Amino acid sequence: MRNIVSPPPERRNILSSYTSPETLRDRSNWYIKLRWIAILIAGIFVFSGSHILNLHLHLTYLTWTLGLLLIFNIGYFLTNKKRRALDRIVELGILKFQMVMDLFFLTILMHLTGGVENPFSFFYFIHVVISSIIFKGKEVYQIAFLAIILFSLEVLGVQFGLLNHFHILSSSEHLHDPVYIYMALSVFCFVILFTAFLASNVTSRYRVIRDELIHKQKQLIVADQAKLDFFRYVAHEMKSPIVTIQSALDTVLSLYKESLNEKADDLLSRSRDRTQQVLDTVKDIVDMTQGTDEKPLQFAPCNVSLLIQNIRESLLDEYAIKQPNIDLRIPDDFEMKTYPELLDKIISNLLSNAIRYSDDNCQVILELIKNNHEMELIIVDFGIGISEYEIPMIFDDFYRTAKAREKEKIGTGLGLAIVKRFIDKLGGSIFVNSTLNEGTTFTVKLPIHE
Amino acid sequence: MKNTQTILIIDDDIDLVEILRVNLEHNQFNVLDAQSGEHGIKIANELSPDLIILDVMMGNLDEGFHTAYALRQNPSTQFIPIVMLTAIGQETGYSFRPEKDEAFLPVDEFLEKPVNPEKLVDIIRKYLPVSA
Repeated sequence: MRNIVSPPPERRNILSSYTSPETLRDRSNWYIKLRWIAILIAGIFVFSGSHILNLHLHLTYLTWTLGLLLIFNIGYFLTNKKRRALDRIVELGILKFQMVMDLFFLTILMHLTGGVENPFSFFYFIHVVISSIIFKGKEVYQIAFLAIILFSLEVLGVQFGLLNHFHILSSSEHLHDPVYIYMALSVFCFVILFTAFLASNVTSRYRVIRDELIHKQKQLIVADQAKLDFFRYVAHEMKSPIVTIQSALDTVLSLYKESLNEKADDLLSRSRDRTQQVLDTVKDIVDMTQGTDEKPLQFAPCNVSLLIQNIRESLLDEYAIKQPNIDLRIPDDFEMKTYPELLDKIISNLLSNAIRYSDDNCQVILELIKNNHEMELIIVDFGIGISEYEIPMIFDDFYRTAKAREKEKIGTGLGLAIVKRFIDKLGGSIFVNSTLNEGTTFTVKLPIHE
Repeated sequence: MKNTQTILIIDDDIDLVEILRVNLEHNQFNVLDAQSGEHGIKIANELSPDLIILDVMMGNLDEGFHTAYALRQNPSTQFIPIVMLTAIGQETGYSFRPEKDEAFLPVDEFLEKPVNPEKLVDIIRKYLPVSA
């Protein structure tokens, strides 16, 4: 039977990526932070133990030990501060050194505070849990075994009189009964190994789930790109035949209009309008997928004033029948770095909407205000307006307001969706203010890059 | 009023070539055609047309641009007006707005397909006025 839980070979790389040197260095920093807290708590325990519980603590030795640990941590902190990640093995070595030194310090503290008399030995468990967060697999067990060895050496050393015993309780003779020592040691060994097992198990599961999430997210990005590629391909494939059909219809309608009978002329004109509709949609889809292919858009200096004037010229040409009045209130020769194609589309779409959804001889105002770090484009029309309940929907793909459909039969409903997308891409924002039958104001804010 | 001016259409879309031919012949131009950039350059060299209509994207992307550069570099074709047609909009990174690309694109006109037939003739007349 195939093991379906096991990730395929190419995923192994992703799974092992969490032990990158950078991750290990960050864990070092985290571990150093934890140690500040541990030193503070140990200090509080020692202080309260001697002053409140009146234990017989050897404050001199304890202060020296905690002071030394503090000096070590200052050392770790200073060497780790803002340094670049080193080789993976070195980073692992740094972490292991810290962990081993901490176990030694803990053993000394435990020894100085009564050994088995003192529940300080619980702190070994914390170390094992921390090591399961920092390391994986065998290192956790190495730390667990080191803890067992150090604890046993202390306990047995005191038991056999090899080490000096520091009493903290007045009556503790029963705690040095060999049976008690035997029970304490075996329970300690069992619990510490079991802790190592549980903690490393839980953290490794967490890591698998996290890597799975990262992997799935990457898959989603790839799938989204594939979808865009498909749309772009379809749009391109459709565009040239439609252009050819449209050209043929235009040529027939313009050269042979007189020789066509009335019905043929009507049908051909209808076909031409519908072809235009398909062509508009295809063009909008091409626009939407702009910059998503291998060829990235150029971020380049752009004379925004000139760009706007050119857009005005071509719109006056395109809407010659409507005779719109496009009033520009823009500074001369305002330049900034941007994606000119995107900015062009944003302004063209908003201005052409303003004209399309207004009456003949309409007035449309475009104002450009240059602030310190952003520019504001304000496009005002006095056209059909947008009802309040429809405003939240106008940037949705294919959405057209009831009033817009009434005014202009043909339209893709993609224009504002494209505008919104491109503004997002440029890191800007768009606001709309509108009153039905009175007009609409779009305000676009874009960051200025010098 | 007879017009004997010759226009060369370089485009790999045969249907579009025929459509343009109908329009141009209707307006008394002689029409030559070529289905590739390479073939177009050869015909332009041999028959010296009065104007060239060039498609941006034949076979591979930018073939039209390379053809335009080649025509401009050849002494015998460098002064022939070129009207460039495109169906690909701004995606090539080359803009339609002639002011912006004058120095960059070696063509006289840059039009997006489909071009209204009357508008196309008007533009051609700018370069080839009707001879008296």
